[in-house]
Amino acid sequence: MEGRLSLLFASFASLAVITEQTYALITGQAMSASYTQVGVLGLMFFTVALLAHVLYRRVRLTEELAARRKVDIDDLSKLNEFIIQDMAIAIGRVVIDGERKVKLMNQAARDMVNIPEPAPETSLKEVCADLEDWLLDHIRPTAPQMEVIRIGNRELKPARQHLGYFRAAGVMLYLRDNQGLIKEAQQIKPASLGTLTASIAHNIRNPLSAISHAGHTPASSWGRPRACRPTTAICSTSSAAIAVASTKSCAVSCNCPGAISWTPSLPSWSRVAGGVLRRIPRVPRSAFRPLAARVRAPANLRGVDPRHLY
Amino acid sequence: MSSDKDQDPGSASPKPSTPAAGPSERERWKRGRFPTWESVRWLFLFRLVVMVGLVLVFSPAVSDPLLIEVDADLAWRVLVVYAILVLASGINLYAQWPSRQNQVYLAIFVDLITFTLVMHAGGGVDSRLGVLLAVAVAAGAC
Repeated sequence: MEGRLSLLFASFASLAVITEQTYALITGQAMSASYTQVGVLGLMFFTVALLAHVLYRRVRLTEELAARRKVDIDDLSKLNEFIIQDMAIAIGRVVIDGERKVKLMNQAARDMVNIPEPAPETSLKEVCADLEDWLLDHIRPTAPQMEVIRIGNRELKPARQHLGYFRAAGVMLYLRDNQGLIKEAQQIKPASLGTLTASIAHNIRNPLSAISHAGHTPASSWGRPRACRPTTAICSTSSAAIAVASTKSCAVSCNCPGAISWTPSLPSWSRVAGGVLRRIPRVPRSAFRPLAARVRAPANLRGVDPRHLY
Repeated sequence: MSSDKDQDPGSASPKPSTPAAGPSERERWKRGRFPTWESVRWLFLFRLVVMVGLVLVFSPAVSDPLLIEVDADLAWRVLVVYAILVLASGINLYAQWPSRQNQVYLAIFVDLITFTLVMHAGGGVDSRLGVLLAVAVAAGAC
């Protein structure tokens, strides 16, 4: 209609009134010409039509604005849903309104409570009665949230966060798989141990390289005394062994087991002991054998890296 | 024949599950523009009330002292035809044919002619029944 048609109707109405008045005059039904009244009526028709036109335009603009806002709100709702779905895959998130109806629920939460996508405006009780019971018990802001609930085969650790000061603002529930949390904690321990080992190995290497360098300098000089040779050899071998040990501890901390070469079978411990004692200067060879025979392997030893033995 | 069985936003209708499956928001807004079926229903109700009022006023059984020089026969004949047309528009509204806009055009034109004739039968411009035409013009803006 566009509102403008009301002007057309107003003109038709005015014409009709004028025609009626003229007809009445021609047929002699009207005693006197009342064209002034007809004109006032016509003016009233056009005034009404213009008012209607203005009102129609305003209503239309308001409607258009409301439709645009609705589209914006729908887009925002989709964006919210996307953010909720994409925030963290391992954490289930459920947004609940003041009437405890599920507004949003990400895939992780659906997997945890083991339901397909709930219909809009589904109550939390229909989705998961245990979760609603937990929420009722812990809805107060001061309520502790350390409880673990069991839903199906899963142990869940829920947490809630109020989305506003009023009940109508709703609540966001965070669902974490307790088994997953335990696994995560177990993974954190070796990681911190590895970090510690790596820092210790790094701190060992610095003085080690100084010792190694100090051992190499007299060994490479032409006029070295004969008595220095075993000492420099021990320094070089030990520093090399410690360097290997620190490298391996770093490899262990990086969780790279391939860097360590374990012997499948244990070596002869008397040979090992002999190799060690042989490096000690001024020890007669005849004393090696009885000493080496006393060496026993530890009972709980499962593997040995041979590079650490000699 | 332009069938216009558009969805009225006021009526309950199942929403499409995905935006791609149904019409877009703008398309739905366009469909829900004035005159909606709801407003056409209100216009029908208004015409029905006016018709009943006029029938009561111009009934041969009633002699209203305010109405002077009334051509009661003409008014009664016009009102009978008007009543038939209003009831027919009710059937059209039920069948949702013709389109909403055409139904409003028809209703306003019929009202203008009827009220002019009733005004003539009631004694012309002096009968003050010309205000009914203003009401019809305002109703046409819906």
